[in-house]
Amino acid sequence: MIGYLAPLRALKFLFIKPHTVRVPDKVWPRWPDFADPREGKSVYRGVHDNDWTKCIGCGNCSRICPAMAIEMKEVPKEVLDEIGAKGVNKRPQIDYGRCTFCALCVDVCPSGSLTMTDNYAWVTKDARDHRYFFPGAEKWKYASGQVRTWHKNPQSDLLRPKPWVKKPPQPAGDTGK
Amino acid sequence: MTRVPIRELVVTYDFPTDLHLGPQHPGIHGNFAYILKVDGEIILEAKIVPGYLHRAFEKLMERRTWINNIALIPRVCVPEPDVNEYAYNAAIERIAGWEIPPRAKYIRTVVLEMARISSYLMYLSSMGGGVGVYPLAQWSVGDRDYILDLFEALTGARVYHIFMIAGGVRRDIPEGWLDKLEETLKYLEGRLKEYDKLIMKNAVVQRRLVGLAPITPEYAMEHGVTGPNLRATGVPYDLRKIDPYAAYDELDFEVVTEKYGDAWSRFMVRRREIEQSIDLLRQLIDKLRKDNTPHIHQPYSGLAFKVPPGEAYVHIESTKGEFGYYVWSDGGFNPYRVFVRGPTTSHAGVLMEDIAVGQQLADFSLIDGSFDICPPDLDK
Repeated sequence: MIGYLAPLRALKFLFIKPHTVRVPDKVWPRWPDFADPREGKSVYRGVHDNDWTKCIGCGNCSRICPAMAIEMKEVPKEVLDEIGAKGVNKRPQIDYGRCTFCALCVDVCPSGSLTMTDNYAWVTKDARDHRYFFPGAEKWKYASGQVRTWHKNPQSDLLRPKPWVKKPPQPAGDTGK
Repeated sequence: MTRVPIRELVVTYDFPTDLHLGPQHPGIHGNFAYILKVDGEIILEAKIVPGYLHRAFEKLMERRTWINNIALIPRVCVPEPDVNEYAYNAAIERIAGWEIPPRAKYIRTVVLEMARISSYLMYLSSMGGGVGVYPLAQWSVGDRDYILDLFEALTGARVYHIFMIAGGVRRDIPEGWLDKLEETLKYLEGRLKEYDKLIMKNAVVQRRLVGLAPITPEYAMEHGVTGPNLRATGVPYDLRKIDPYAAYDELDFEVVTEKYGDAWSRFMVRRREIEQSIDLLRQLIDKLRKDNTPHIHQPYSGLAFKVPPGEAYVHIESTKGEFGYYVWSDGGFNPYRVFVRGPTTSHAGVLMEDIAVGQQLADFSLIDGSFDICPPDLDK
């Protein structure tokens, strides 16, 4: 008998507040026509951002990319001179049709200019924009998030080896003194 | 409980019909299809149609560098991607002969156990849908999102974490994360009691599942059945206990088994293993709080990483069954050969064609669901 009545106890959940959030409750300020109330967590791997003044155009990111999504695109010298950038006049362009958001490009960036942001939603009217993302360029600045979440960090830096040397266990009683 | 033989209840026709079930069918979990020969409601023959998800992972891995592959391998099993990351990286470490810091082992085990809970919640959801208890389907997917939130705060991604790397994990645990994990575990424990009332004690569900598609231990071992499906027949085969990896040798747990090997036993094994995972995670939280070692042993640079020549086979326990990675290095930048042993090859490829015969059509998606078949791992 209990077997037939027990499931009915689930009816009490009709009166409990739902997990889900109604989208129009809070509108994302940067996207008035695209509402999304949820923010990415502090290490979230979202849309890229690139600081062109710090970037040196070395191409490490395009070398490690597992999906071969990053291409080094030439940028006019005048644009870089204007912002005081150094290094080669090439900057990474990311093909979001291929990108897997693994953040290996961020972990091998020697200058720490390439980061990932908390933005996980990007809407554009131009299909070409949607595919080729040029982080740092003026036109694409609106799409990068405000908070730089997954960035160059000594913990996840892939360029610098971090070998672990196992310490021998301390003898229990007699320390030899 | 006695079951009336189905053949006596259903009117049969003289002309069997071919029925294409899947890949676009809610009862089939993933891009995967069956061609059934049915006589009325009775299944006479079942043929699997794999290949919708074939992406040649093993060949692709040979063309990518050791580090690049960690972004590729989680795709081998979508609901539980971390087993692939673990097995692949553990194989590299075994070839290179590295010893991993204890903290890296604990964090990896936490990730693996959380992935187990999230995968089992997906399983409960698919079974809830199959048996017609839709609140369970929605509840468990909703509760799984809390686990995904934790994953997001730890690894930066929700489904494909790409978090483990040769030597350890990519980042240490953020501040305050362990408290959040404890809160979520407490919440989940409370929710499991509600699940029990809704479905485990539900007489209708019991009548549906008890005695459905039973397999004997001998049959299961002959057909290469592993994981919870084997434990449901009473065989205490759990690689976490038999061949401990990561930090499982330091944890205290019992292997969960059930007796009868039918759909109900397979369901109950998984339900009880969620509790087991919650208990294991609590033990790991205590260990992580006391431990001060680094989260990675990384004697290499990411851009020029070579593995010394050698080969290794690592097998680990996933929620689908036994996952194995055989990795062969010739000393170069890429693996020479990677072979993936997925559990679904034996569960779907062999078992379903055999066991579905003579069953009722309405039960087919339940049988398919109860074995927890994972199409991406079958196709690879």
